[in-house]
Amino acid sequence: MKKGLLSVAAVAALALVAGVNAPVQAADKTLKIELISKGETHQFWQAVKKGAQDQAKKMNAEINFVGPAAETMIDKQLEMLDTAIAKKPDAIGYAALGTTQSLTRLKAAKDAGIPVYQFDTAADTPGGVKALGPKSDYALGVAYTNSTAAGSLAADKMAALIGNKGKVLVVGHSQTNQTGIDRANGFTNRIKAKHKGITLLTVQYAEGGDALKAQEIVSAALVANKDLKGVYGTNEGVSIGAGQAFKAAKLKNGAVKLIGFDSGKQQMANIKSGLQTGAITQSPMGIGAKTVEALVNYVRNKTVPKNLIDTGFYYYDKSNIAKPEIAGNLYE
Amino acid sequence: MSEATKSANQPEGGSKVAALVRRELGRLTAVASLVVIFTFFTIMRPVFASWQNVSGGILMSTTVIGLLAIGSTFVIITGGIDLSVGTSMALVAIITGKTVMALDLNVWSGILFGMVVGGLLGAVNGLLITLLKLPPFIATLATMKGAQGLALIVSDLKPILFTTDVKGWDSIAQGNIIPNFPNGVLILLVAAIVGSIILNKTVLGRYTFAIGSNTEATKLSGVKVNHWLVAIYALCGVYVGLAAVVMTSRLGSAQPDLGLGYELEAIAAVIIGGTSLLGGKGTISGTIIGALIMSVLINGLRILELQQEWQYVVVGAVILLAVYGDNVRRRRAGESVN
Repeated sequence: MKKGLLSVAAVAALALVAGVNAPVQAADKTLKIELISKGETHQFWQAVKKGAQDQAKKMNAEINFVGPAAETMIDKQLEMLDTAIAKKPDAIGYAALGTTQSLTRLKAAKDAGIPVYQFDTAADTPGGVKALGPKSDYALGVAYTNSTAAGSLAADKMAALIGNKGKVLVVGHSQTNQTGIDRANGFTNRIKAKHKGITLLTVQYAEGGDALKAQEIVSAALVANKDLKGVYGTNEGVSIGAGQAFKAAKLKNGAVKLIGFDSGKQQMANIKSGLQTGAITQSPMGIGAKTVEALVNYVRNKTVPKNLIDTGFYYYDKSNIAKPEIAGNLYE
Repeated sequence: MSEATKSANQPEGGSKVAALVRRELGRLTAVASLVVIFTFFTIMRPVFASWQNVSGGILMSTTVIGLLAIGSTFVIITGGIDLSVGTSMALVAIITGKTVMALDLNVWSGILFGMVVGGLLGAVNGLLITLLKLPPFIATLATMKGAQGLALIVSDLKPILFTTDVKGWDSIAQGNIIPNFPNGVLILLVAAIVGSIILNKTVLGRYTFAIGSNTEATKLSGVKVNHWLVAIYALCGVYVGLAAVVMTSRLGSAQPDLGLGYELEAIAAVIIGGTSLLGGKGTISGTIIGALIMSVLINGLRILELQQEWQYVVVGAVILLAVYGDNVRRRRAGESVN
């Protein structure tokens, strides 16, 4: 708190020295924003980056977008967060990988007077997302896809596709990352609550979204369950692997339904060809844009952002893949 | 065969049969464990032993790790290690994908290209180890990171899609020259036989054992150890390149971030197969059995639908048991242990 007062005093002193021009300069100053994502490799993060960059350009801000090579590298990402704080930027956007390990860092950013808005995944802060805001020790809020609701939508679509009965396999991409957990649980809980005719096999994980592991998991499931009706994959890599397992088993298109997540060239080609039934897409560009918008408005105009910005999600299949509201969120 | 293994296998009483039995015992215990695990899963779920599962599930799952493990076997017999095989595979996959697409290469040129690129990457490891005199662990840790980064850079972070554009690429692994026998498995088999011949019947193989048994003595006897080491790491790289080709064929695409961690699975297969981490001793057939033990186990646990977290625990326990059992047998036989 003392530090906060000190910096207010420092700004005031600077304003006095600089005279009338100071506020104008402050508004014109290009804001430096550090964005720490959960990964770089998957195109999803590239779309988030694109959305953030476009928004930053509009609002006279500069972003530095970083992320670890794989979504399993929690330590690497925490180092990146440390580095970002040390650089004393105007604001930080953070997608939580280490949902508990990052808390001390977020507190450090707050103490250093750097506002943080989270994107994609919130850290596991005391009091949950509701307690986020200017008074929170951790972050102003989070712009994210409600992954649990998105998983539930996938469950409803799957239930409709297989006529509310039969065996379904869920292949997750992470047992530890919150998005992965929510996408899987959103699906399984919805099935258990609303679609009781469906039998869920034990959830398996292709850790890190490893397409080869996903292929092997689905191949084994096809052998063990001749009556398998559907597969739900929680990210791009898993969906690709599942599709390849169908191909290797020489299944007829549509014999087993496959609902995936996100997009990418191969998954979209599989949906167009009928190998895959459909997928849920988030609005990655929206996540990037909303995060930057919230931070710039807060730093420049002191507009307090909502503590929860839901950036939306959609189910798409062969029939609507080309429609503008869907296509804008898909990436090759 | 190296001096060390020769002396270890020297029959004490003079009976050649006893020596043969003792020499083959290691492999036999590995085969026996494989049979026990296989039988267990078959009893639990008979469908486990169906040809669809054995060929498309177990054997197919062994192809990528198996190829990486064959290459690693050569390196480990020299007393070295190659930590870069996983991420190098990703890099080869990306470079091959880009090139095949850009130059419109046919399948055979694509396979050859992948093996050459892999070989070159392997040679870089060998040069770092011999010219800069870096320990293999450090040199290949560096190239592991480097390859990981380069795969991301070259790919521009996007997977490269093959199937729709390159005719027949998917049949490299998934086609059937022999009916009901996936080509990927055939490639592994041929690669293993070729590897075994190189290891046991060529000068390269002889020096692989010699360097692993006693590098100094090998040097003193006039062998250009550094040259041979570069060749051995390059050979490992050729297998990595082939693994990359098989992987992209199985997936229909090259994934820039797929491969990290595979080096450890490959090393595990080599060690379970009875190759000594200390060098000087090892077989390709052992490595293949080691890789099969891993994939039979993982496939079986998936078919039994064991919770994933327990799958990891079981795999860890089996690695421990397999290597411990092998060590006990070797201590009795007076051989070096892991």
